[in-house]
Amino acid sequence: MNSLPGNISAGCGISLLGGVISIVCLALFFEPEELSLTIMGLYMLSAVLFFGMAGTFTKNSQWSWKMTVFMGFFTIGVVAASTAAGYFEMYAGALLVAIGVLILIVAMLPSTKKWLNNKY
Amino acid sequence: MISKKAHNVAVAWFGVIAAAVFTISWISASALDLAWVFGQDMISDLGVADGSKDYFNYGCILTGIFAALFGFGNAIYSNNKLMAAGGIIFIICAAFLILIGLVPEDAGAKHDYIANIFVLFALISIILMSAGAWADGHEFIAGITLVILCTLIGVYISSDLAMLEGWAVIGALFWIVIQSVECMIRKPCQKSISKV
Repeated sequence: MNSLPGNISAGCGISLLGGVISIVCLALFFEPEELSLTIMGLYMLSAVLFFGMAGTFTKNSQWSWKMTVFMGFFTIGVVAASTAAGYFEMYAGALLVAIGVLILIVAMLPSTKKWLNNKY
Repeated sequence: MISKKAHNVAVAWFGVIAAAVFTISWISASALDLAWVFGQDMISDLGVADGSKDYFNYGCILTGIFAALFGFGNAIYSNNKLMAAGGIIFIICAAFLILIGLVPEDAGAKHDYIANIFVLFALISIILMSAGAWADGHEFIAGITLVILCTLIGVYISSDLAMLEGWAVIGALFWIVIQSVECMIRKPCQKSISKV
C-alpha cells in the first residue's frame, strides 16, 4: 500500500545511478595536478545534483514537478558545460547526459507530474 | 477588430525561415571563402571577403527581417508579459542584425559596437522568451534553452572568442527553431488575439 509507483521508483533508481557514476568518474579520472580540484569539484557537483534528483523521487520529496524538471535540465546543463569545457571525459559526459535525459523522460510522464504535484 | 483568429502558427514559420536563411547564407559564404575556418575566424570575416560578402551581408539583412516578424508575432500572440517583452527586444535584436549586414567588419569599431549590442539584446530576449515559455507551461522548450546556455558557458571557458561565436550562432539557430515550435503549440488567450 505504501510502495511507490513504478515510474517514481525508476526515476529514483536512475538518479542514484547517475550519482554513483559521477563518484566513480571522480575516482577514475583523478590526477594529482593543479587542475584536479576543478575536475573533482565538478564531478562532485554532478553527483550532488543527481542525488538531489533521486531525493525528489521519494515519498517525502522536496521539490514540486516544475522544480524537478528545472533541476533535471540544470543537471544536464552542468554536465554538458563541464564536458564542453574539457573538464569531463567525453564518454563520461555523454553517459551522464544520457542518464539526465532518462530522468527527464521519467519526470515528464503525466503520472509522475500528477504524483509530484499531489504528494503533499 | 481586424481578426479573431490566432495566427501564431503562421508567425512561427518566420522563425524557421529566419534560421534557414541564415544557415544557407552562412554555408554559401563559407563555401566561397576558402580561407575561412570555423572556430578560428570570426563569422563577420565572411562579410568582407570578396567572394562571400554579398551572400553573408544580404543573408544577415534577410534573416533580420524574418526575425523581426517572428519577434513581433511572439509579442502579439503572447500569454504573459515575459514573452511580450522578449518579443519586443527580439525585434530590436533583429534590427541590429540588419545593421550587421549593412555595416560589415571593415567599418571597424562601428561594426564591433553593433555586433556587441546585437549579442546583448539576443541574450536578453532569449532568456525572457524562455522564461515566458516556462510560465506558459512549455517547460521542455525553456529547459532546452537552459542546457544550450550552460553548454555555451563551457565552450567559453575552454575556447577563444571565434569558437564561442560559432557555437553560439549554432545554438541561437537551434533555439529559434524550438521557439518557433513553442509558438506553434501555444494557445494565445483571447485578450492577445483581440489586440490584432
